[in-house]
Amino acid sequence: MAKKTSTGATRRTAARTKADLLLKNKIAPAVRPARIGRRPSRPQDPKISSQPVVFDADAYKFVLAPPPAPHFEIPAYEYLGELPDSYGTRRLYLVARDPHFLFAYWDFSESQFIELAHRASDGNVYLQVYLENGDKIQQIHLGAHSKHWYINSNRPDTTFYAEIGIYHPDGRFEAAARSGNATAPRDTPSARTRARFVTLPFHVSFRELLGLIQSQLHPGEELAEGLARLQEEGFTFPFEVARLGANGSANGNGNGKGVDDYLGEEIFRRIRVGSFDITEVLRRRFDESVNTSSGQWPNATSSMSSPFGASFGAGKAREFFMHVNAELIIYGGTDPKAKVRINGENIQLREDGTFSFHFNFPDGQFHIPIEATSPDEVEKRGAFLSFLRMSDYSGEVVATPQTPRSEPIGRVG
Amino acid sequence: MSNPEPKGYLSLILHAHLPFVRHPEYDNFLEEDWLFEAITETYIPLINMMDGLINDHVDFRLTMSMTPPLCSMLLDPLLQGRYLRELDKLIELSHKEIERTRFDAPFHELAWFYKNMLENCRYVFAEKYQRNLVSAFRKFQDAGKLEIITCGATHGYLPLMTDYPEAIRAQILVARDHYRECFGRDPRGIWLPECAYVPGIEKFLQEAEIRWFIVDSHGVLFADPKPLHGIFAPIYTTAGPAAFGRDVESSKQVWSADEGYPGDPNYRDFYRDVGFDLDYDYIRPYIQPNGQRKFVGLKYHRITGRTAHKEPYRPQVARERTISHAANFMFNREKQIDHLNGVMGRPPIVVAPYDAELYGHWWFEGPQFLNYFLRKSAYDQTTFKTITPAEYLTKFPTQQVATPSASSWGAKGYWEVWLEGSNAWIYPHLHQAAKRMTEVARNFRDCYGLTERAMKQAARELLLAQSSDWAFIMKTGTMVPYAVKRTKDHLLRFNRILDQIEQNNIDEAFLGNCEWRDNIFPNVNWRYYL
Repeated sequence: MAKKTSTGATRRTAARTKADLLLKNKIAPAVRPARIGRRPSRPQDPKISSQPVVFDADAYKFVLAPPPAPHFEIPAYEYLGELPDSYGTRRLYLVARDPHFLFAYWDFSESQFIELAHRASDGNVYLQVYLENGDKIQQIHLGAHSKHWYINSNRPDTTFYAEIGIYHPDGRFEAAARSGNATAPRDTPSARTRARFVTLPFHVSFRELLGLIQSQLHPGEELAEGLARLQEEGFTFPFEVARLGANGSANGNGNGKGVDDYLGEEIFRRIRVGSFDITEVLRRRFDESVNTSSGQWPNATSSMSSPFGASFGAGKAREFFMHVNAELIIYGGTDPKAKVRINGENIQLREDGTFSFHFNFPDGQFHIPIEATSPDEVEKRGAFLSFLRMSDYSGEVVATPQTPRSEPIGRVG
Repeated sequence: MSNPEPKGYLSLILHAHLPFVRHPEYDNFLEEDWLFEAITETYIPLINMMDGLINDHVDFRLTMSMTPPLCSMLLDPLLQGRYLRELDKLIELSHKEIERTRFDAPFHELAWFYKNMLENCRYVFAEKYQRNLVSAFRKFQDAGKLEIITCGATHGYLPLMTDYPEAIRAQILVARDHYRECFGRDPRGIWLPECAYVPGIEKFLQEAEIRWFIVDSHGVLFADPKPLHGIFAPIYTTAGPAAFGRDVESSKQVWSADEGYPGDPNYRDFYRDVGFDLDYDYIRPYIQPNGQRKFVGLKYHRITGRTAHKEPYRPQVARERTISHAANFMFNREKQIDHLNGVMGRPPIVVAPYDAELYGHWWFEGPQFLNYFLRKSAYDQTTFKTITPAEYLTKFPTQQVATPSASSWGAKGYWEVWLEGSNAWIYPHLHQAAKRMTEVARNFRDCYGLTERAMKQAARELLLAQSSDWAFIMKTGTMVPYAVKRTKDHLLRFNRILDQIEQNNIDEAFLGNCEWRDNIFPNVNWRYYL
C-alpha cells in the first residue's frame, strides 16, 4: 500500500478519476499514424491511450517521461553497499531554514542515543534551543529514532544555537552536543538607513586593492569597509573616487523614498514570482486539462514502467519481475496554537497548523493515537489510527528501494 | 540608434545549468536526454539568435551563467556523439512524419518545420561549431556581447555547507579553474547556485576575484543597512564583491501564473508529444530502448486555451505573438526605467534573471521573444540600454556598502526546497564527507602518484554528491530514484576511495572505474580542501 499525501497529488488523483469517467468512449488522439507492419500476434502491445499524462509540474525542467512505478535491477558492478544510518560523530547541526523556522539534525548512532538516555535522570534525551545570550526558548523531547526536528522559532534576524543532552537528578542539563550558531534571516528592511558609498574600480583586482590599504585596515575591517572609510577621510588613491551625497546621487536628487513607493508591497511579499512560479502555470493548466479532458491526452500509466528502470535495465534482456513496498503518511491540521501529540509525543505544527508524519511502512501492526488540545487547554480531539501490513508474496518478489525516513511509530508487539 | 546616455540599464541574465549526467556504462541512458533536449531547444536557438544579432550588427548585451557541469557535458566526446545519434534518429522520424502527414495539411507543415529545425541543429552542432558549443558561447563573449559567468563547481547549495567552509571554497575555486579552461580568462561574476546566499560567502568570492553575484530581490531589499536604491543599484558586500538584486516586475511579466507571456494560447503546448500520441509500433524506434514511451520533442499542438482540446500549432502565428510580447516587455521596461531614473537621480539597473532552459525547452518561443526584444530595444527606443553587470560596475564603480540578507530564489525565498522531509537525510552524509575530505587532504597533503589520483577522484565524487539538483529532484517528486541513487553512489564511492587511501590499499581497478564514470574536472585541485 502506498499513500500519496501532498495536496497537489491528491488533487491530481481526484482529477484523474474524474477525467477517467469523462474519457470513456471518447475519441482517440488527433494524430494518427499509418499502421505499418502491425502484427496481430502481439495483442498486448501498448496502445495509445486517451488518458492524461500523470505529471508533476514541479520538476518541469527534469521531466522526460511520466513517472511510473519504479523497477530496476542493479547490475553486480553497480553495487556499492549502503550508507550507514549514522556515523556516530555526535554532531548537532542547526540551520535557519527561513526567518521563522529552524531545522536541527544530528548524527548519533542508536547505541549512543540509548546510552545517553540511560544516563538521564528521567530516561529522556532533549533538544534545547537557545538565543545567542543563552536564554532557552524551546525544549523538545526526542524519540530514539528521530533524526531531525523543525523548530518554529518565529524570530527573524536572531541568532540561535542548540544542544542535545540529558538532565541529571540535581536538575543540571548536560549537553552531549552543541551546534554552531544559526542566524535567522531578516524578513523586513533593515532599520539602519545610513548609506555609505565606496568606489571600487573594476579594473583593479581585490588583491591589488587590499595591497593598497592593508596597512591602514582596522582589526576586523573588511576591504570595502576600509576603502569606504579611507575614501571618506580623503586618503589618496591611484584612481578616481566619486563623491556622492548620502542620498547616493551626484546631483542631490533621490532619497530612497521614491524607490520604496515604487516597489510598494512587493518589498514585504514573502512568496515572490520566479522560475518556481512557472510550476503554478503548469499546474493550473494541467488541472484545467484533466478536468475538461476530451480524451486527447496520452496516458502514462498504461504502458510505462520506470524511466529509472529503463535506464538501468537498458541493453539487458527483459525479464519478468516484481517488487513492492509501502510508505505511510499521516497528516492533518488543527489550530496552529494547539498542542498535538502523536503516539504520546508532542509534535511541532507547521505555521498553518498542519502536520504530517511520513515513514516507510514495514510488516506489522501499528496503533497510533493522535490527540489535539485546544490552545486554552479546554477542549480535546482525538483519533486512533490502526494499520496492519501483512505481506504475502508469491514467487520472487523483492522490496522496492525506499528513501531513508524516520522509523515507524506505534508498533504493537 | 540608441542615445549614448540612456536613462537606465537592463541586464538580462540566463542561468544555464544541468546536473552532470553521463553514463558510459550504458548504451542509452534516459536522463542524458536532459542535455540533448536543452541543446536542441535552448542552447542552439540561443546560439543562432546571437549569431544573427552579430551578423546584423545589432548592439546587445546578454549575460549567461554556464555551469561547470554543463560545460563539461558540452565538451564531452561521449555525450557529443550520443547527441548526434539521438538527433539523427529524430531527423529520421521527421522525414517519416512528412510522409505520414501528407494528407493532413497543418501537421504536414509542422513536420517540415521540425525537419528544418532539426537539420539546422545538426548543421550548427556538427559542422559550424564542430560539436563544441562552448566555443560558440566563448565566441560571443570574446565579441563583447555576452558575459559568461560561473557557478558553484557542481551547483552545490552553499548555505548548507557553512559548517565546512573548505567545501564552499572548493565549490568556488574549482569552478573558477574550470572556467579558465573553458573560456581562457577568469570569471568576473558568479551565479550562486539557486541564488542562495548567506553572509560570509563573499569572502570566498573575493579570493577568487569574482566581482559580482546575483541574489533574489529580498536579499538586497532586506540588506543591512537598508540600500538606498533598493534593487535598482548593486550593493558592495564588505569584502568587495557586488550583489545585484532581481527585479520583481520583469520577472513577473515573464513568469507570473496570471500575467506571464508563456501561457499565450498560440504558443506551443509542452505536453502533447508524438512520443505518446503516435501508434506504438510506429514510434517504437524513437522512444526508450526498453519500449517505454518518452517525450521525443515533436510537439504538434498549441496551448489553445482553458481546454483539453488542443489545436494544431502554427509557428508563424506564434512568432507574431513573440513580437507583440517583446514590444510589450520593452514598453514596460521603458516606463519602469524612466520612472526610476526620476526618483533615484541616477540611472537605475534592472536585473532580470531567468533559468535559461525555460527559454526554448519550456517556453518554446522564448528565444524568439529574446531575439525580437533585443532587436527592438536596440533600434526602437532610447530610454534604456542592455548591459552586463560587469560593464555596469565599470561604468558606475561607486556604490553603497551593505550586507545582503540570507536568501535564495527557491519557493518562499529561503532554503525550504532543499531542506525538507524528502531530502534532509542527505546532509549528515554530505557534512561527514566534507569533514573527512578536509581531514584526509591534510593528512596526505604531499601525496603523489596513485594516492593523488585517488584524492582527485574523491574530490570529484564529493563535488558531484553536493549538487543541489539531487535535493531539488527529491523534493519535486519526479525522477526521485535517480537522484537518490546519484547521491548515494557518489558518497559510497567517496567513502570507499578514502578508506583505501587511509589503509594505503588503493584498488586501482575500482579507482579507474570511478575515473571513467565520473570524469568531471580532470584537473581538479583537491588541495583546496586543505
